[in-house]
Amino acid sequence: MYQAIQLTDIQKDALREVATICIGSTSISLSKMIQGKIDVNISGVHIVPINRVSHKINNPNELVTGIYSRISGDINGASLLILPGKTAHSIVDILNGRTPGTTKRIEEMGKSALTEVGSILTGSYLNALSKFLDIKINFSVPSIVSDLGSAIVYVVLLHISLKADSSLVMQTSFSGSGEGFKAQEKVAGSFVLLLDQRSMHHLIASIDKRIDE
Amino acid sequence: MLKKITISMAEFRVVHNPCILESIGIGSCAVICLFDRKRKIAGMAHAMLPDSKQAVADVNPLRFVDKAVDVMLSSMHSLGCKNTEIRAKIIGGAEMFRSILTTSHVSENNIKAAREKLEKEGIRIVAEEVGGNQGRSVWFDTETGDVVVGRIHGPTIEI
Repeated sequence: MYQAIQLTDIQKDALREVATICIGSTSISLSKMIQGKIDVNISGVHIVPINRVSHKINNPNELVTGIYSRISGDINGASLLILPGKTAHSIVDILNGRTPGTTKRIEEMGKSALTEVGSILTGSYLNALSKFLDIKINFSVPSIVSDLGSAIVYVVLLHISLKADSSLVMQTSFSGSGEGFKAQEKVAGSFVLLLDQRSMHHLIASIDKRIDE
Repeated sequence: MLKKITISMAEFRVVHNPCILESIGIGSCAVICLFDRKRKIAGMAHAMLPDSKQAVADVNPLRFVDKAVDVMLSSMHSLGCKNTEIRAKIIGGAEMFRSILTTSHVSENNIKAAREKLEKEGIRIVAEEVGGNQGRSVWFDTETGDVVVGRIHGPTIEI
């Protein structure tokens, strides 16, 4: 059994910094993809009981597209890229060369395009994390679903929920727009990293090592 | 307007006064609604996993279907309810990410666990809205026992 973790302010700041660096890398990939400008917003770092995780994410009660990968290696958990309904539709349109706003519902083609996007964005986030902290991270091919934010989060949490009472929730969000976008078609989203107890210890130890350097 | 009480995952509530018990965004989880029409006592629980014996660490027992039903029943018993007079409705157990092998049986097992547990307690299940691949939201009117189930890509129905 691992002890419940309390993060110190320094550790929290460091985690926030790390999350920002990682999302920075993700946003570069995304801005290339949509040929637009992406801004990175403030990151939240929390350790919360598993049943409260949905309260910490953006848009728990809205239709979102969730792109989920399982994480293994030195840390074990899941990553979830959350795109509000409209953003997912706009991205599908851009990748298919249509005017943003054309897609109203995500079909098979759109799903496969978004899985590809998810794979690239998840990869850039996790590679940045892995390099920065010098830890080994493998991730699965993403799965994708459109539903209510909270419904998606609990399915994603399933495989760590038997081993952990709480989870580390690192959330970073981004927003931006690209060529041909109308004001209401801004792209926004957030990236959530969920880790079990053992992985939290590992991640924090790696951070402490970086702070000491 | 009736008061709304939101039940999040690993929570339950037993009420005696008319209100709406709601649970938003149920994916593979199971929501169990219990209703004693005679005494107008109602309960709702939102559980994530089927069986508390599977836990390998000290985790919140309300996360499991079997324990959640236990605590809800003991709370209802203390208000004078009898199992033979309680009716149940089960909602949830959707298979949202069909490609994930490890979670693929949890949804099914949550519903199975709820059915088995209720049968063991001698409680009749009067309605189910389970399975499929979409998340659901539930509103339980504790005055009438009516349960309304909504889905994002489908119609809202009453069970």
